[in-house]
Amino acid sequence: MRLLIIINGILERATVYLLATEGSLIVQRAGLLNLGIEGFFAIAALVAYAVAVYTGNLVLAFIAAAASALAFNMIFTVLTVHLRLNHIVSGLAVSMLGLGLSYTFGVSLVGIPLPQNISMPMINVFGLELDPVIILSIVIAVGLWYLLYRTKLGYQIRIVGENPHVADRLGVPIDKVRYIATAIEGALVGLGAAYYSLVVIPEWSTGVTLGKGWLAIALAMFSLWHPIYAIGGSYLIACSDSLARVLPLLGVPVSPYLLYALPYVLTIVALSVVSYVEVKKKRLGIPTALAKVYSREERARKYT
Amino acid sequence: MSPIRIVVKRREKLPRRLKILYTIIAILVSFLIAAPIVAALGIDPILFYKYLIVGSFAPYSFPLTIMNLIPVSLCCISAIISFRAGLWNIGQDGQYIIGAIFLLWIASIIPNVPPPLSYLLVIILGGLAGGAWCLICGVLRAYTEANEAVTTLMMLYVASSILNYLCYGPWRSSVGFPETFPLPQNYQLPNIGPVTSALIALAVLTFLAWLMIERTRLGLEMSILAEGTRVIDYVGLRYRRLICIVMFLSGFYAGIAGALYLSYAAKFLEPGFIAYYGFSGIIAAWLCELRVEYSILSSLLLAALYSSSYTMQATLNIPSYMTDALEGLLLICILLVHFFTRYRIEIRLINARSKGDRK
Repeated sequence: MRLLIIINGILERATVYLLATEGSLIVQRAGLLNLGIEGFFAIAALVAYAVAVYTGNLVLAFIAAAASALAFNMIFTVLTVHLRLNHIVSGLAVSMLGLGLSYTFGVSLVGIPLPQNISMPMINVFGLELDPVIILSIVIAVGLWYLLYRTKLGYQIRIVGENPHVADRLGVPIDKVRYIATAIEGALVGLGAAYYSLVVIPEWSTGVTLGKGWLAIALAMFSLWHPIYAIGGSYLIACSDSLARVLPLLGVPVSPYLLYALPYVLTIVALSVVSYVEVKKKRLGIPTALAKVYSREERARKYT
Repeated sequence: MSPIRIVVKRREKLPRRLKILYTIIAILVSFLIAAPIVAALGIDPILFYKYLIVGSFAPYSFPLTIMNLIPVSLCCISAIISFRAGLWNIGQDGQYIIGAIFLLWIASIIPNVPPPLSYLLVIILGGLAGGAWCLICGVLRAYTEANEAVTTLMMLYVASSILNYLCYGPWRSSVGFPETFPLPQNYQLPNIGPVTSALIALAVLTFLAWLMIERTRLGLEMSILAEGTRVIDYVGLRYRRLICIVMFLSGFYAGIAGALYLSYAAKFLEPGFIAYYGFSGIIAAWLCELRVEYSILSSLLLAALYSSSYTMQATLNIPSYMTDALEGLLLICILLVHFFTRYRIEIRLINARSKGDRK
């Protein structure tokens, strides 16, 4: 019984990571390094929780979360795509604004529980009671793989991230492609954030989402920017996450506080290895133009 | 085709007076945008503005602003050093924590160092630890090309896990709270009147940073590094070594921020020691256009936001996270200024005669 609870915990957390990672992955494939994810993750988590508390409708909460994250992400898109501003600083600005707004307005929801009558409808798959969102996240991962590698839009996203100058010559509408990518990112991250605040930790407290958004960026890199590998990456990190909770309960003398650092250390190691192999001219799918501002008239300049 | 076309064109360099004017306008605009947000919280915006000023520059609150100024300003210089070289160290908060932890560790081993020497040790130990922490990302960037913005950000979470581990684990000395033992008395910087003597250290460190960036060969090499690897190869610099040096120096300043703050204000470590001065430092760095000589002014504004957020939380019951939202807005407005000083927008009407421009 206890094992089932642990497995369920891993599945739930992995779903949050997977949805957010898929979002970050697609936008990185389009050449944007969106550090603002931390901000709209917090916004969407709050919106989902507030909608669920006030309307009692779970589906509405998920939709509202996705829509709000998508809308909020547009700030980043305008700053980097149209105004050609630095991705890292723009992302930090969006993050701070999002975190600030979310936790400022979230104060009134601290301690208010979700209505009793809402709970996830379960789907029975091979005798296992599964959450539909867990299945949806896997379906989305496969769908994104299809989108990236089997459709024209996916090809355009990849070439924009690889070399926007060439993409421009080929007539790919760069701005439009990047808008679509960030819209998909916003919606997916919003869904993940809603699942996080409604199912994984069904309560609201200040600072609950801290670090989750940025972890998704790292996970996308860890998964070599590949939607299918991202499933493995998310489940691996969810396992290490639950290890931090379970080991102390089993009496293993490891500090949970140090185990919390594990996903970040793993990511740094993986990112270094991936980048090193990439430098040695073995293609692994790292988007070459990641975090580089594209402007048709000029070459890459200082501070851009 | 729509009859109106919006064209973005690069501008000639703007005179400095106009740039300063634009920056001031950006600051005011970001504060204006905050008004409806505050009103949505059910608080009178006029009161909000009043406490924004009273909470930071009134005689009773000014020492608090100065207390926040020192870490913000040092993190700002740390950001300037790395951004000037085109490197993106955004994990100042992690280096800040490591600087403080290392200081507390060494100081607990040798608590009886006499004062003038121990004050110097505060700066050196904090700086070395922060620099080494950032150097990890620098080495990874130089030799494996791992994106340093992402690795420094991840290292921030590693550092904060170590801080939590120490506070709840081996260094815990209070039963009720996750607090460590205090820094030995010899290492605590004294106050001069109402403000701390760490201000002198800040002045000296700022001058040294200015000297390094504007007047030395290293400063010049940093700006060449920002131009990209092709230029570096052409000039014949050893760019891997240069990346490591810049990242070490950037971390050095952020580490000093943590060690100094521990020494003159915090006295002991707790999980709340991380106050996200690093992100404020990054905003301050953009506010002063990456120029060290103006860094204290821009940091003063952000430090003022910090101290007024304490006052507002106590009096108006505005959550302190409101300050983060305000800082985010401020950064967005500064970025907009950055755009408008570099580009101008032309709106053209397209008619039959002007079709010739559309090449």
